[in-house]
Amino acid sequence: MNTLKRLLIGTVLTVLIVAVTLASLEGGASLLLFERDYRSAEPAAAAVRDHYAPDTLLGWTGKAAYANADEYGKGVGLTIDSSGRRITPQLADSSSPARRALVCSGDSYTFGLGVDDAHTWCSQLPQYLPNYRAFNMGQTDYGLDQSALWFQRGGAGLAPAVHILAVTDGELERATAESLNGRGKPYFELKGDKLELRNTPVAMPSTSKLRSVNAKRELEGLRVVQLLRTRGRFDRDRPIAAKIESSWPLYEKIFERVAAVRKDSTTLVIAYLPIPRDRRPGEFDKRREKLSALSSKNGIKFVDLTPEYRALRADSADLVFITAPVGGFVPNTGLYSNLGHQWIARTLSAHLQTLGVAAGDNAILKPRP
Amino acid sequence: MAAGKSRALRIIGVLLALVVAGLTVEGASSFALMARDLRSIQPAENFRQAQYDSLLGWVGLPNLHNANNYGPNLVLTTNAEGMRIHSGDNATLAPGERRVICSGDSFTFGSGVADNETFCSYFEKQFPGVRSLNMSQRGYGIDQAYLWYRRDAVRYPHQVHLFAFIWNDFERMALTEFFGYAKPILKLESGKIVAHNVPVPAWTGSSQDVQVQSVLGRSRLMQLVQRRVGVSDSAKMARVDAQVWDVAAAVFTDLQKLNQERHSQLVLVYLPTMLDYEKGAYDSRRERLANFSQQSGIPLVDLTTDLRKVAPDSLRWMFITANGVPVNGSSGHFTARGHEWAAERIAEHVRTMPPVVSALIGTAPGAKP
Repeated sequence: MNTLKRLLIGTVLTVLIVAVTLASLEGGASLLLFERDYRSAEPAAAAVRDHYAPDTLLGWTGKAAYANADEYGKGVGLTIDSSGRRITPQLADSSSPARRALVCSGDSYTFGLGVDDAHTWCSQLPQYLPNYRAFNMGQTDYGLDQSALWFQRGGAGLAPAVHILAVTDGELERATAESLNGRGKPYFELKGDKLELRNTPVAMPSTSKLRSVNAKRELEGLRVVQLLRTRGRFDRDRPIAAKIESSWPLYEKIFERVAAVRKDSTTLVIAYLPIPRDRRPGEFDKRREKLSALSSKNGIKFVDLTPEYRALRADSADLVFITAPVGGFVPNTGLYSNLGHQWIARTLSAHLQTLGVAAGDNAILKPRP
Repeated sequence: MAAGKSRALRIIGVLLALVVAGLTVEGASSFALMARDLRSIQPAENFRQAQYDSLLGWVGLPNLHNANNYGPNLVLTTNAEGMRIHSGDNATLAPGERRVICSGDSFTFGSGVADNETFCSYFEKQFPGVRSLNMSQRGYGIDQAYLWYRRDAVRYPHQVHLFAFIWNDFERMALTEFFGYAKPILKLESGKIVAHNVPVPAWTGSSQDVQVQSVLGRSRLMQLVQRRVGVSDSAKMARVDAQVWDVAAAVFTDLQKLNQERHSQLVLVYLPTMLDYEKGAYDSRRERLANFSQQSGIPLVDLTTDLRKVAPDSLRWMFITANGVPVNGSSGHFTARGHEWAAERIAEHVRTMPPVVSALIGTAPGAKP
């Protein structure tokens, strides 16, 4: 009996020692990889884009007179005008004063990260709405707050007849933050019934700070962190979702603020732009419903392109976004492709016509066989 | 003094225990995440429709007819020998008809498209009076495609043989199993091609080996090792070529001989994938193929140059997107449009090869059609 007991204990101890050794080796390798990645981390690409210029109100804006003909690949160019806006090439052909101005605000999905100047949905709107000339006031990585502030500062002067404030889930999330990838940004707080602007003038970040913020992201590479993230309490998305959930009064005030700019002569349209995760019904549908209710409550026109996106064939829906080939990599995946921007322009124009906001060319907008 | 030393040792012991505990927790977390991933593994879809073959490893299931195999109306039909067919019985030709045999892998087989949407079937439209026979199989390497042709094609008198392959078909020549399914491997012995690992070890049911390997690859220890010994794509390809190039060249030479004996014209066809769109690691192998073709006199059609002329957004219509077809493993292959494009381009190249054209249109070489 004693021999058996000793054998059992010996076996258990051996297994334990082997298990701890293997786990320690695996853990050691993980920490080694983490240490290397942490030390070599560079500022996030999203924080140091070449076409950014620092801005004490907005955090960043487009660099005036920036031009790179191969920004996103050979022949896929980016040009920014003297006001920091991405150019809309049709403007050159359609700058007749008889055409009314239409401004597009938003984030990288409006800016057109990954496609050239002429292929952004904003640039293409005049094809369907020939009575308008479009101005692209989208900016990469903007939150709803920055889009509102920029329009107030730079959009009103264009005297637009229509202002399309394009909203994605990302913009709602960013409007609850005071920085993005280490780069400071302005944000609003609601004090009673009033919006108060915080974090301005926005301080300019140092490269070391940007690097340090990105280095901290490497913590996500640790396996114990990844395991914890599978637990609801440590899920990264939960606090963001909770913050958005509590920010609807704030968003409402921001929309009111934007609507008040030239309220008698500019029609504001809030346009929800679908992103890949909107493909299937899910928890994010509630946000779109809230946006719709909020807009309706404040008498603001609202367009949601998600139903049309979901009605697309599976392969067409895939092609709306820049995707990587199987086994390969391309930058800017998940953003609208040329086809995606074209689809947005066409579908959005049809909505604007239906809403009676903008007169278009009916022949172009008729459903194609 | 002794007490001080003992205390110091205790502290060191505690610190050591803490370090080991930390490493163990990190390592155990990694194993827990891998176990989670292993539980959700799905078997590879393509091999559900294959059966064991002692020479080739696997062939298609015979007499299959699934009307919605890859999705609504994306039919898959095979004949008694497991070859994909698109127009009923193609074992017999009408008087005056000519036959072209297409060898290859899933790109030639047409994963994700219907029977009549493969480039092999579209090729018939390019040359009136030509019937095609699809002797390709999902997952095949150059070795298996060659062995199948050598063994079974003699039963189907033909005038042209399109031997098609993608870059990965060379890599498969270095393997004795693919996705966990055993296959033959060819070696050169005294200048002769000899098949090893035959009879291929029998298999039944599905294998999850590759998926399991992929999960094990997420081990941090594996990642650390890979980083230390990591090699570029070019180096990996060079390593494979060092092992298989001479065998591949011998295979092509033997195919030429077999085709001549069978009064057929051989054409090697390099099919580009999306990964070939940009210049990169795969170009050196393609150059080598071109040199081989020139020196051996065996015609080669390389569609990569044609692919690189396609505009990027049009290009994506040619390859099945991630969600385009509800069958796992189809993405990355040609769409019907891609197949049509491939057939047109192959035909265009073939029209510059008088002996092949003569064989296809049934005239003597040099005679005008």
